Amino acid sequence: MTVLATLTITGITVGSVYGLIALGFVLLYKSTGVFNFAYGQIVVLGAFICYALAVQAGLSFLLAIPLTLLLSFFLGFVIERLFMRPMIGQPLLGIIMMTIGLVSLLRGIILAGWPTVQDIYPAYLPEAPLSIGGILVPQVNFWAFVVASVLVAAFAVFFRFTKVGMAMRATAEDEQVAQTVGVNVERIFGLSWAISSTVAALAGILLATLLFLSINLEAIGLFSLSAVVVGGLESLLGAVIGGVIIGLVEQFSEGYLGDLVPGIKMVAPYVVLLLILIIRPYGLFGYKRIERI
Amino acid sequence: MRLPCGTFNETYDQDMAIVRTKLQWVLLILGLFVSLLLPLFAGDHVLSVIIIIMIYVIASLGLNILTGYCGQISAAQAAFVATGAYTSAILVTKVGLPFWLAVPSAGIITGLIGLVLGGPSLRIKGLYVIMATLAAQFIIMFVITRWKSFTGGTIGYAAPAPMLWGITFNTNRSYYYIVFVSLLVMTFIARNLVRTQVGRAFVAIRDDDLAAEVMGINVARYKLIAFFVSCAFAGVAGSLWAHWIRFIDPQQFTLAHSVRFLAYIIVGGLGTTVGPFFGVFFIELLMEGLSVSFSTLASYVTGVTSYLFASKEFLFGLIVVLFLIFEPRGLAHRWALFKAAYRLHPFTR
Repeated sequence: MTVLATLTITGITVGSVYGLIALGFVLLYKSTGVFNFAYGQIVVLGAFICYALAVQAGLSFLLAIPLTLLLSFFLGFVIERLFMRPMIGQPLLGIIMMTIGLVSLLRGIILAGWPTVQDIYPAYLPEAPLSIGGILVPQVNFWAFVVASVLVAAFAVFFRFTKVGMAMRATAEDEQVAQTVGVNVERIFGLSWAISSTVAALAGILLATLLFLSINLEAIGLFSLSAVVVGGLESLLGAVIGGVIIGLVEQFSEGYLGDLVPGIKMVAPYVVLLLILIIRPYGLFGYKRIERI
Repeated sequence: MRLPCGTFNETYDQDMAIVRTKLQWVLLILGLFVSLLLPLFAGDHVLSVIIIIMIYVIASLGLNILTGYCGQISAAQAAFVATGAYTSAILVTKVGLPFWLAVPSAGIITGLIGLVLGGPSLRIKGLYVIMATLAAQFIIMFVITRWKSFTGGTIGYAAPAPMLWGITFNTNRSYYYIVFVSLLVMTFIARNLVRTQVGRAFVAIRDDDLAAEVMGINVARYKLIAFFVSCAFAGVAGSLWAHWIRFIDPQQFTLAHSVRFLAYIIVGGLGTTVGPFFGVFFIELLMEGLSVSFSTLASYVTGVTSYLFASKEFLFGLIVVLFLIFEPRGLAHRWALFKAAYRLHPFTR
C-alpha cells in the first residue's frame, strides 16, 4: 500500500514537471503551429543559465531565477527572429528540420559554455520534506506541482479571455486569415516563442533542482514530447495530464518491473506513446481534425 | 530530363534512358574507373572516411525514399541501421550464414521489422509519424541494449570480416570494393524504383494523401512499401557497417545519428537520387575538415581539442539551419542549376 502510494505521489509530482515542460511546448504549438524539437535544449539551457548566475556568478537564487527567466524571454525572441521567421510558409519537414538544427546549435552552445559541468544546485528550498497524508514529499516536488497547476490555470485564462491570447489561437488556426483580420502575426510569433522559452527555463530550473544538472537532462525534454502527444497537441490541460500520466507510467514501471527489466523507465513512456498513437492519434484531449479536399 | 540542343528522343528506349548522351557515358565510365582505382592511391584514413560516407549514402538513399518521395518523416533510421547490423552479425556468427547472404537477409529482416513499426503510421500523418518513429528509435535501441544474451547489450557484439575464395576482406582497401559494389547496386535500385508506378504512387501520397486515395492509390499499402524499402536500405547499410567496423555497440546508432540522416537528405536535396550523395559528402567532409583543423590547431593552442565535440555539434546545426534558410531545395538543386547553365552555355549567364 505504501509502495503504491509513494509511487503515485512521486509519479504525480515528477509528472507535473514533465507537464510543466509540456505546457510551454503546447503553448508554442497552439499559437504558431510549430512542433519545437529544440525545446528540450531550451529547458537545459535555462537550467545552465541559472547555474551560471547563481553558482558561478554567486547571485542569490531569488535574483538569479527572475534574471534567468528574463534572459530566456529574450532568447525566445532572438530564436524566432533569426531562425523561425524565414520559415513561415515552408513545408512541415523544413520547419521541423529547422528546430532539429536548433537542437544541435543549442547543444553546441551548452557544450562549449559548460563543457564538464555535472552538478546539483545548492539547496535553495527548505530541506524538510512536506507530509501529505502521511507520505513525505520533497519540497521541490510539491512546488513543481504548484507551479504547474498555477500556470495551467493562468494560461487557460490567457488564451480564453485576453486579446493577445485569442490572437495567438487565431494565428495557429490560419495565419493568413489572422492577418486579414488585423492580427500582427510576426509579433504574435515572437511573443509565443518568448513566453514558451520562459516557461521552458522555469521548468529547466525546477528539473535541475529535482534531479541534477547536466546536458543529459535533454532526454527528459524528449519525455515531455511524449507527454504532449499523449495529452493532445492543442490542449494545455492535456499537456499537464499527459505529463502526470508519463510520470506515473515511469514510476510504476520502475517500481514494479524495474527488477525484472532494468532501465525500463527510460522506454516505458515511449511504449505508451506508440499505443496512444495507434488508439487515439490526436491524443486524449486534442482536436480530431476532419480533412476536406 | 532536359537534353542538350539538337538531341531528340526518337524511341521509347531513348526516352527512358538514365544515361542518355555520349558525354554522360564518358563521365560515368571515367567516374567508375577513378572509383575503382582510388584504393590503390588513397591512404588508409582517407579510405575509411570514404567507406563511412558510402555506407551512410546507402542508408540515406533509403530514408530519402521514405521521407523525400513518400513524405513520411522518419526519426528512426539509425535504429534500423542498428537492426541490420545486429541481424547480420548474429546471422553470420550464430547461424553460420556467409556474409554474402547475410547482407540481403539483413536487409529483408530489417524491412520486415520496419513494417511492424511503420504500422502505426498508417493512421497518422506528418508530425505524429515523427513521434511514432521517435518511439520506434528508443524501443529498438532499448531491446538491443537489454537483450544481453542475444546482442551483447551495452558491451557490444563482434562481427567477423567477410571471406570469399580464401580472401579475408579485413583491410580498408579490400573492403572498399565490397561497399562500392553495394552502393552501385543500391543506387541502381533506388534510382529505378522511384520512376516506376510505385515511385509515382509515393510522390502522389507525399503531395496529397487524400487526393492520392481518391485517385485509387492504396495509401496504406504504399506507405508500408515505403517503410519496407527504407528499412531494407538501412539494413543493408547496417550489415556493411557491422562487418567493416567489426565491433558494434548501441552507441553507434543513437537518435543523433537518425537526425543526421535527416540532415543529409535535407542538405543534399529531398526527393532526388543524387541528393543523399551530395548531402553525406558535404556534411561528412566538413566534419572531417573540422577534425583535421582542430588537430592542427591543437599544436598551437592548448586545450582546444576539448571544444571539438561542441564545435562539431554547432557546425552541424549551423549547416542545417543555413541550408533551410538559403537553399531549402538542397545541393541537388544547385547541381541542376549548374547543369542547365552548362547545357545552355552561350545563351544564359
